[in-house]
Formats: sequence, structure tokens, C-alpha cells
Amino acid sequence: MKEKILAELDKNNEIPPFPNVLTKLNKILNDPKSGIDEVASVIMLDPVLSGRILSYANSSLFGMIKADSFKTAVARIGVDELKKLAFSMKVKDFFKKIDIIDSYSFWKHNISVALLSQRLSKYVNVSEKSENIAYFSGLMHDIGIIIFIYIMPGAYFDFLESYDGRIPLESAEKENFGIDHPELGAYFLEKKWKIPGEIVEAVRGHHLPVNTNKDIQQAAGLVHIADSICRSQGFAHGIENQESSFRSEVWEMLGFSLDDVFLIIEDMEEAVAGAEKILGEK
Amino acid sequence: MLKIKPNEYEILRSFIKSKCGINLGDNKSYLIETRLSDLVLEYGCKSYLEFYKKAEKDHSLIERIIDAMTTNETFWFRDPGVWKQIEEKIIPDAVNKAKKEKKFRVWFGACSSGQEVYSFLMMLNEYLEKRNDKRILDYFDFTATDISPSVLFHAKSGRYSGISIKRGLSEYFRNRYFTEQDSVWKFTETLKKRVVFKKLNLQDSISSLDKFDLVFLRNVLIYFSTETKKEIIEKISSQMVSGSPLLLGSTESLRDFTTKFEIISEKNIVINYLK
Repeated sequence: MKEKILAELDKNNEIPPFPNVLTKLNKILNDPKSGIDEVASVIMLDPVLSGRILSYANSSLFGMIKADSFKTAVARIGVDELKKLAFSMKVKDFFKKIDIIDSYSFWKHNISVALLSQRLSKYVNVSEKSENIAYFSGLMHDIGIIIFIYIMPGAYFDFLESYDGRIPLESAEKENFGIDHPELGAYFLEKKWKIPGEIVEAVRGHHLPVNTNKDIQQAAGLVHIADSICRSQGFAHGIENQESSFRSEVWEMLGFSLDDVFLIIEDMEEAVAGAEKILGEK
Repeated sequence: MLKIKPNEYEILRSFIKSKCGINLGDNKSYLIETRLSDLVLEYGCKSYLEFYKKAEKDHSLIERIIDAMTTNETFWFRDPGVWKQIEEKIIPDAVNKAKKEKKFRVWFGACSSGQEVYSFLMMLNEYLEKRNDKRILDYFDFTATDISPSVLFHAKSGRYSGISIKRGLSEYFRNRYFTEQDSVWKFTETLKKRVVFKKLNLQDSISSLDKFDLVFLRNVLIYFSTETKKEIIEKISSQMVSGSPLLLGSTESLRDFTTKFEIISEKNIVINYLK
């Protein structure tokens, strides 16, 4: 079954390709010589994205002075944050045709997990690299669910109808399809979108963050904790079981403390508010 | 759910006993199936035997097994009969003692996601309010411990959603002590902040804890072997003030493990008082 699903994915032409604007943005942001002008000119190629970024820069998150030009907006947000923002805003458009799940809740959960993963890194001693991997893998940690829907909508819909939440979603997927959403998502990101391997591995490991590479292990750990907290605190995407618990050994490996629970909850609330802002109107 | 074969059950049973101190009876194979089958699949194992071989070499997997075997389903006011006794006997006695000694320390030894702790706080608060005695609450200290950071996180956050807010909680208590926001129910801050949550394994040393006037240890001992049970009870008794009550689950008994407690049964509900 697993091989059949992967073969189906290989030949599927309906799944949207990796957006051009992000490829260009990626390139320009990695070039130390490029400045705000270049970044702005790339994003302006995508009118919807630039409109959203302008509106985001004018939101209450950035104070009262209006950013009327796109360049001011880019400067205000900061080049580093811009890539994350552009990815988050763009990713929900990739899969507009999904109708068997609530696409808004799905992305709200995924973006919240991305933002919370990043915020969680301030409580523990993780590398900057892990923090960055955590953001992007948080954003795409459940993308495998969407891939299931793309390549086998009928079978996955029937599966969701009969899934009662008594065992974790990924275990049920594995039993039914021989492959779970972390693995399918990772395969998709690697083969189709050619996303950097570290992000792919962290997506693969978000339910079981064990990896020999420390940066990936930390990133997958941050996503695992952020995902579990969002789910158990009422910000699930409605497919996976809400009553989720994180693993003791991951919490301890990263060095979290129970003293920070209230601050983490505040961070989670801010992450959810940030996700709503990024997503815009429902 | 992955079915366990009889020989696999025997192997895992003795493994779990040696690693976690949890003693499973002859016909408890369903306990392993319901609690471990997810984990077996998650670790990519096709059988419990393969899982056991993996667990033998992997310390973090043993931790996971402990987590899975000891996580209880939690309810608000679990066992109504016991809570009636708490309301009519335990709380009035506690309040009298608190008034007299200006101090009363309560320990929840396996607090899970906090339902028992907050059930007690709500009931105590009701009792004191009815008597216009709310200042007495300041004499109380509440310590809640558990082995799992994940449930402690949940307990400390005091936030419940979906089905977890419904299990056993009446509308009266829910409306009085919780506020709802985005379908998440938040336990009232004024009571929540009175509880100190800590990670603690009952099999480790517990002497750093305070001495307590009331201890909740409900539905925990069932998971341990006789020897471990004895050790835990011994340690707990040394952290209790003489004459204090220890509350166990309704199917648990101290009778075969210690003589340090006077076991009083009233209306079919047992309370164990340290001699």
C-alpha cells in the first residue's frame, strides 16, 4: 500500500508546485549582497502576497505609524522575518481545493505551531539553526494529511469518518495505509518541493523526535511540544485527537521547566493570534 | 488494536515489573493492549516481542512505557461516594484543624491533569463560603505532583477543552469556577495559583517534601508490585503528620501492606488514618 501511495504521489500533477515567488525570495535572502530593494521587488511580483504583507505591517503588532509603501513594510518587518511570513501566507493558498477538512482551522493550527515552536526556543538552550528549522517544519508538520487528501480523497475521507481518536492519527494511518502523515509529508517536501533536508527530517520526526543530528532533533522536539500544547489547549485542527500529551523525554531533553508554564501559555495565545493575523479573513 | 499473544504477555509483564515496578495480574493483557499498542505501532514494531527487544535497549522507550502504563483517565469528582465523604468528613475535619493550627498541607501524589486537585479546591471553597470563612483558605497549602511533565503542564495551565471539561463536572461548578474563551474552559485564577505543581516519581526519594495533613493517592498503587507498594506507603507515611488521612482509590486497600494506618470504613468508603 505504501509503495502504491508514493508512486501515486510521484506521478500526480495536480498538487501545486513550489511557488515561484518563494524560490526567488529564498535565493535573494540567501545572497548577502541583496538589500531591501531587491527583496521588495521580488515580493511585489506576487500582488496578493504583497498586499497581505502590507496589511500585516500595518497591524497593531507594529505600532501606529502607517507603512504606506511596500518598501517601508519590508523594512518594518525585517528581512529575516519576511521569509517566514511569506511562507506562512503563501502556504495556505497551495491547497485551496481541499474541502473535506476545514482548511482555515488546519492552517491556523499549523501556523500557530510554527510560531509557538519559535517562541519556545527562548526557554531552552537550542541553536539558532534549530529555531529556524522548527519554524518551517512547524508550518508544514501536518502537510502529509493534505497530500493524503490529494492523492486518495475518497479513501482518506472514509478513513477520517471511521477514525475515533482512540489511538494517535499517525498510528491509525499506518495501520490503514502503511504510511503515516509525517512520513508522507516528508516524502512530498523532499521529492516534489525540494525543501532542505533538515526541515524534511524535522517534519518526519514531529511525533517521534529522535534524530542523530542535534539541530534536527531539537527542531523536531520543539515542534512536538508546540503541537501537543496547541492541541491539548484547544487549538487542534479538528482531525487529530485533542487530548495529546508530549513525551517526557523530549521535554527533558530540551530542558524545559514547569516554572514557565504560564509564560508558555501566553506565548501560545499570542502564537494563535499571530496565526489569525497571518491568515486574514476566514 | 494490536493483539498480544500469551507468551508475549508473560515477557512484557515481567519486563514492566522489573523496569517500572508495576505488577500486572494474570488476566491483564488488555491493559497492555490498550495502553501500549499505539506505542508498538509508533515504534514501527510488528509484534509485542519486537517491541520488547527494542525497549530492552532503549532507555527513552522505557520512560514512554511508564508514561503509557501510568496515565489514568481523569474525571472531575471521580467516585461520587468518595467525594461525599470528602465533603462531609474530610473537609470539615481539615477546616477545624486549619483553624486551630493555622496551617494545613494537602498533597496530591499523582495529580495527572489536575481534575482531582481542582475538584477538591472547588469543594473546599464552597464549604468555606457557605460558612463565611473564606480567610481560612489562606492556611491551606496545596502540593500536586506527578511523574509526567505533560500532565503537569496541563494541570498547571488549568485549561480544559472538548470532552475533558465534561467528564463528571456539573454545570454549577463549571459556570462558577471556569470561564470560557474559544471553547477552552479556564479554571479560576484565584484558586489555581494556590497550588504548587512539581514533577515527582513516587519510587524516588520524597523526603524533600513537606509533612502533610492530608494525602490523596487515588488509583495509583494498583499499578505497582507488592514490594514497591510497601516501599511507597512507607515513604508516604513518613511524610504525614500523625492522625492524618490518606485517601486511596475505591478498589485499593492498605490492609495487606502496612499496619501503620487505622483503616476506617464508613458507608463503604475507606479512609486510612496514620496512627
